[in-house]
Amino acid sequence: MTYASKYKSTDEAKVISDCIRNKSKAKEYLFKQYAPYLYTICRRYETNDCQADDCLQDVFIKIFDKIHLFNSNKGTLKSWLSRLTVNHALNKITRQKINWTSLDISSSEIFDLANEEEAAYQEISEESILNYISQLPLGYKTVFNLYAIEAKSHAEIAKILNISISTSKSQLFKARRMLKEMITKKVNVSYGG
Amino acid sequence: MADKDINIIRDRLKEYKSPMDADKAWSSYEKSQVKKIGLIKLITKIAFIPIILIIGIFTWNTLNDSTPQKSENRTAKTLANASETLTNKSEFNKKREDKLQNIVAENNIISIKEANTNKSNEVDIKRTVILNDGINKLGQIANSNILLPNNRISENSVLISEDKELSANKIIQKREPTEPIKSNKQDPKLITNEAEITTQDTTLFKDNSAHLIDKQFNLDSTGISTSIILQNIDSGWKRHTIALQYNLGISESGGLSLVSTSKIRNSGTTGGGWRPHGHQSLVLGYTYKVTKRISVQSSLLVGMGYLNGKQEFTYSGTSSSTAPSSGEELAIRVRQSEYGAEISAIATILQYGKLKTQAGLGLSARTFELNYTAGPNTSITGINDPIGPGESSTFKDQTAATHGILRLKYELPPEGLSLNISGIYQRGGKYDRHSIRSGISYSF
Repeated sequence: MTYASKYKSTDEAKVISDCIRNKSKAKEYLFKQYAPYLYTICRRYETNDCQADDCLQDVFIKIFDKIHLFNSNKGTLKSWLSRLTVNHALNKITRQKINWTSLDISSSEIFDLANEEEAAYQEISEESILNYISQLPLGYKTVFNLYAIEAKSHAEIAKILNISISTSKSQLFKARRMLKEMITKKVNVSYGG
Repeated sequence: MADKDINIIRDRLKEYKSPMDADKAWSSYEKSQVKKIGLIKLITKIAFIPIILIIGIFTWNTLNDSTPQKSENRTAKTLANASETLTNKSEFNKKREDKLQNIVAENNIISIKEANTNKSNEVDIKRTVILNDGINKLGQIANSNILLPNNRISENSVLISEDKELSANKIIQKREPTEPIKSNKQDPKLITNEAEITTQDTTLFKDNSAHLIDKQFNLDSTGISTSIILQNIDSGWKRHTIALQYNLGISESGGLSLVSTSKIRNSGTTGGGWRPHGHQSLVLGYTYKVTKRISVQSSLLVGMGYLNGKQEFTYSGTSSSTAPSSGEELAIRVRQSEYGAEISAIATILQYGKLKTQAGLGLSARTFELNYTAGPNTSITGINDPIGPGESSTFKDQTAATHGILRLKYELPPEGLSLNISGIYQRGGKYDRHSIRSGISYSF
């Protein structure tokens, strides 16, 4: 019996309880169901595919180890898995030495950046966006991911990464500027072609 | 990059699933896990065997503090202490007599009944520890015949019974002068001269088998189990055993068990408390699954024990010129050895949810030998072969018995953890024993 025929999408509670009982089929089902989604998160925080693969494996070890702690009353399985993956990536990042340089950026610069003309993001594939993000320096990338995708405030980011709020703002500013440059160049090139 | 761009990126990436070969990823994950888990399991399985043995040896050597070597050392020390104490006592008594004579001379109001003609300062302390023949009884009688200076003998017999008023561990024998000192102005210090002799109870245990293997694991699982065994013989819960079991799952049809047990005792009397018992055993067991519900378990037992019964005494010399002295003296040294075998058929009779009930019947046989040696100033009586100071004797016993087992196992989270309660009734030979075991097991 394959995992697909044994479990249906509505059987989430059953899958979780079987994973707690260390049932291989349930683990396989959960892995295949959520791996592509969690892999995206890993790719956003890691530099290359190899690192993202390792990240995914480590995350699933953690997931199967802690799945008994999942409480469906506190949120969906998907958000719990997502949180676990982000935390895993952040733990790895905070163990590394990052040069959190802070630039003096004026309010007007931030305002200009925030209100400049929209780029053609609808025209770019998700894969390309992920590639651009992964090319950012670690500090820029981390703050950008937390701010832009995880929707954290600068105060929250500062607390998570143990940096100052101004450093968080400065890192985000540089990340946005660098992303804009990469995307504009790429778009112009592709459009130019 | 505009704020609107950030919102677009968030929307597009938030739910995005990267294209990937999930089957390949899963297979790669599984392989890495099998390697990691396999290695961890192998290390764990191997590591537990010496751990159990080390725990057993540690308990044996440290808690009991009475291996033959230590026993020899202890005996040498106690003899030295005793000798020193006797010297102190001699000096003390000499001074005491001198002081008495001075008092007589100075105050002329104290009269001593007998003439103090013998100036011997020798003090001979003889004690007899009488052990009840009824095995495993806390009650003992200790006699203390004390030869006072001038050959006056003070005889004190102390019955150490199961009376709750008396500590099972400590007997205080007060030595007082036999001859009353008649005085209107007695020096209270002189009257309160006393030797306090504390005797640890040295009950001989002739029957030690509480070692029926109580396997709480699935046959193919590896795990550890701890349990406390409350054992009864005759009447009253008297002896307890702490057991640490390691189960090595071999296949779905069988598994090996290594059990280390250490006996402890709680006398239940004031000051009794939990104490090591001086007996340690290792059980090697094998369980074979005959059908889905029936299994046969067998085990071999090797048990050994050493126990030093000591007598501690404090000589609370209250004369200003005499320093108090104390010592420790060997009362009895016991060496036990035991070999046994058992076989049981166990059937699962009921399984309801997380609760499993098993029942079984079996046979066991064992041979037991006990060697005991009296301390240098102790006689041991009340057993088959009474012995005098410094003498040794042996007790041998062979028993065959039948037993019945009832086990309850309740599964707890996380997976692999279970709470176990079982009762064992053993009948045969001279002894009927029953025990209750409770503990937890964890399979990994």
